[in-house]
Amino acid sequence: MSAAAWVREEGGRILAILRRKLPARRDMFSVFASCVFLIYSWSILWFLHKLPSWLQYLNFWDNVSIFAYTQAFALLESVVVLLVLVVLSIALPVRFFRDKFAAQGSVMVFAAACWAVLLRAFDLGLRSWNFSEFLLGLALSLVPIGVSCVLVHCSQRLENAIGAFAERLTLLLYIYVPLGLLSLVFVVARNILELG
Amino acid sequence: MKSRLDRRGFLKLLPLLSLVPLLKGEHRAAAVTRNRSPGREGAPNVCIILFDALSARHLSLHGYRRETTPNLARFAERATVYHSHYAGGNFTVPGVASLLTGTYPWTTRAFHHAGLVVESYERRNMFRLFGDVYYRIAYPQNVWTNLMLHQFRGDIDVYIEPGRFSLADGTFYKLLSGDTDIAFRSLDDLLLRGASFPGSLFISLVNDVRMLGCEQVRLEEYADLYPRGVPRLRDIFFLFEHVIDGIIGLLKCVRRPFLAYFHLFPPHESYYPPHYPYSPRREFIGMFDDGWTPATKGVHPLSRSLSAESLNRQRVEYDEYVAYVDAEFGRLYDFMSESGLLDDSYVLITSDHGQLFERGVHGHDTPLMYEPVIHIPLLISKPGQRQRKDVRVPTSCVDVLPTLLHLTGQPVPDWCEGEMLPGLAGEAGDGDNDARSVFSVEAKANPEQSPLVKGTVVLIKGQYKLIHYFGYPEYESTYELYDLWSDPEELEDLYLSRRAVAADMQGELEGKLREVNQPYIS
Repeated sequence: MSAAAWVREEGGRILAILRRKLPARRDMFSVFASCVFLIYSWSILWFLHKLPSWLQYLNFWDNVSIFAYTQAFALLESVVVLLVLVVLSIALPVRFFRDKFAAQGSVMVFAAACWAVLLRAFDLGLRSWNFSEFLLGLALSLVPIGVSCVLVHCSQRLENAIGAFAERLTLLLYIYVPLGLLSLVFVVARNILELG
Repeated sequence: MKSRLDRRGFLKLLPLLSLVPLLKGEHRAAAVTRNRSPGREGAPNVCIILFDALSARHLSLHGYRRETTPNLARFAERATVYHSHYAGGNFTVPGVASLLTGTYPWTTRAFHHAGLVVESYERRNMFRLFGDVYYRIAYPQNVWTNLMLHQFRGDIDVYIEPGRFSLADGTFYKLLSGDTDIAFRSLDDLLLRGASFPGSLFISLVNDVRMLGCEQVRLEEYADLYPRGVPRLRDIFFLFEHVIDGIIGLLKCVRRPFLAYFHLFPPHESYYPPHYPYSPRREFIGMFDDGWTPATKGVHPLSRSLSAESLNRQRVEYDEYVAYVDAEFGRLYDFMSESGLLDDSYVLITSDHGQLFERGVHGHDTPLMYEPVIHIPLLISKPGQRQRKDVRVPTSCVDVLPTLLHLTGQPVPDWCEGEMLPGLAGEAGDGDNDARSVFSVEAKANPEQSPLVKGTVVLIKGQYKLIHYFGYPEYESTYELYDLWSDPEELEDLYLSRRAVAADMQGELEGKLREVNQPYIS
C-alpha cells in the first residue's frame, strides 16, 4: 500500500471515529449558546461597570472600540470553551458525555461559571493566593462541576430541563454571534490600519 | 452569476471608505515626524531620570531621619537641588503630563486614571519641541505613562516598551502594537486583569494561573536575593538591576545630542501585590527596623482610615525600597560620572508624585494632597557642574520644560505655564521668586470636557500652602492652610487664625479655578 493510500485510509478511520464521538450539531449549538450567554453577559456587565469612568476622558469611538474588543474576545472565549467541551466529549465514553452533551455540557459551563465568579468574589484573594492555594481552589472547582454532571446523568427530568433551557438560549446566538464577528472585523481592521 | 467585482460594484463600495475615520475615532495618533535635521554640534544632552512615587519627604538628602539616599546625596554635590519642588498632581498621569507639556493638569485635562492629554496637546510635548536638534529616547516603565507617551510616539525616535529589560512580560497589548492604547485598556485592564472583576470569565482564570506560575518561578529562582519576591509592575516581573544595566547600555551608544526620558517604576509599589508591595534586595530588608515612628497625625475624613501601625510598617518597607533604588542609582551615577556624560549633559533626577503613609492613607490614590504625596525631588546637574547649589523657593514640574528649552537654546512656546527654574541660568536674571504661585491638582472624578466640580487643589506661595477640597459631599468646600517653614509636617491648620493670608490665597485659588473652568462652562 502506498503511503498516500495509507494516509487516506487511516485518515478516514480517524474521521469516522470522530464523527461517532462528536456531539450532534444541534447539541453543540445548545452548549455554545450557554457559553455565549454567560461569557458575553459577564463581559458586557464589566464593560458597563467601567464605562462611566472611561466616558470621563475617552471619546465615543474609543469606547466603541473597547466594546468591540470585549465582544470579539467573548466570541473567541466562547469558541475555546466549546472546543474544550467537544474535546472532552471525544475523550470520554460516548455513553457518559456525548449522548447527553447538550445538558452535560451546559451544566458544566454554568457550574464552572459559578465557581469562577466565586473565586473572583473573594476580593482579590485570587491574586494574593500562592500557587498551591490557587491550584487547590481550581481542583475544588471540579467538585461542583462533577456533582452537577452526575446529577444530570442520573436524572432524566433534570437533563430535559437543562437541555430545553440551553436550546432556548440558542436564540441569543442570532444577536451575540454577529456582534462578535462584526467586532472581530472591527478589531482586525483597527490593527491592520494601525489606528491606535 | 458574476463572480468578479465590476465597476458598478466597486463604485458602490467606495462610500465604505468614509467609515475609516469612524474606525479611527477622533484623532488620537500623532503624525510621524521623520524629517530630522542633523544634530547640532556641541549641543548638551538632556537626560531625565524619573523615579515613580519617590517622595522628597523620604529622602535623607532632604533631611529625612533614615539614611535612604546616600547616592542621591553624592549626585547632589554636583547639582542644583530644589528643596520645594511640586508635582502637577498626586499620581502618575497629571504628574507626567505636567512635566512633559509644561502645563498644569487642568490645561492638558490629563487628570484621570489611565488618562491622556487632550488632542490639542498631543503635539505640545517635550519630544516634539526638542525634535529639530535632538535624538529622542523614551522608556516608560510605567504602563500608564506608556499609554500617554504613545500619544507622542511620532515625536520619539527610540521608543522602549515597558517590558524591555524585564524578566517576564505577561501583558497582551504588545501583541497588537497597531492599537496600543485601546488594546491595553481592553485586554490588560478590563478583560484579563480588571481592578475588581476581570471582564473575561474563564480565560482570565487561565491567565491568573499563568501569572501565578510565572511568579512562582521567579520566587524560586530569586528567593535568595529577593525573599519578598521580585519587583512587579502588573504582569511584568523585573529586576531593577537589569533596568539600570539596560539604561547604561543605551547611554553608551546613543546618538548625540540626545533627549532621554527614563520613567522608572521603582519605588512605586507593585500592582496586585501577592503579599509585599515593596520588594527590595535582601540586604536592604530590615535596615530600618529602628523602632522610629513619625509624629501621629489624625485620620483624615477623606481617607481609608488605615491604622497607624499598618502605615508605619509599610513606611519601613517603602524606605527599604527607596534605599535599594538609591543603591542602583548609585551605579548609574558612577557610570555617568566615569563616562563623562555629566560633563556634556543636563541630568535631571525627579519624580511624578510622592507617597503617603499618614492620616489613614497608604499610597497616592487619594484625594489628599499633603506634602509627602506632592513634594517631589528635583536635582539638576549642568554640564561640568562641580558645586552644589540649593534652591528653596517653591517650584513646579511645569517649570522643567521651559527651563530645559531655555538652557538648550531653543524657543519656549507661549503656551507653557511654567517659569525658568532659578539657580541654573547664572547670576543675571536668576531671581528667587518666592512670591510666585505653584499649583497641584487632583481632579480624577471630573469629565474631561467639563468644569472641575470635585477635587482637591493646592496653592503654594512662599511659605504657605492652601489646600482646597471641593465637591466631596462629606467634606464640601473645605480649606486648610499650613506654614511649611514652621510646620513642615502640616500639623497645625492656620486657616482660621491667619485670616489675611488665607483670604488672599483663597481669592487667588478661586480665581484660578474660575479661569480654568471658564472654557468648559456652556
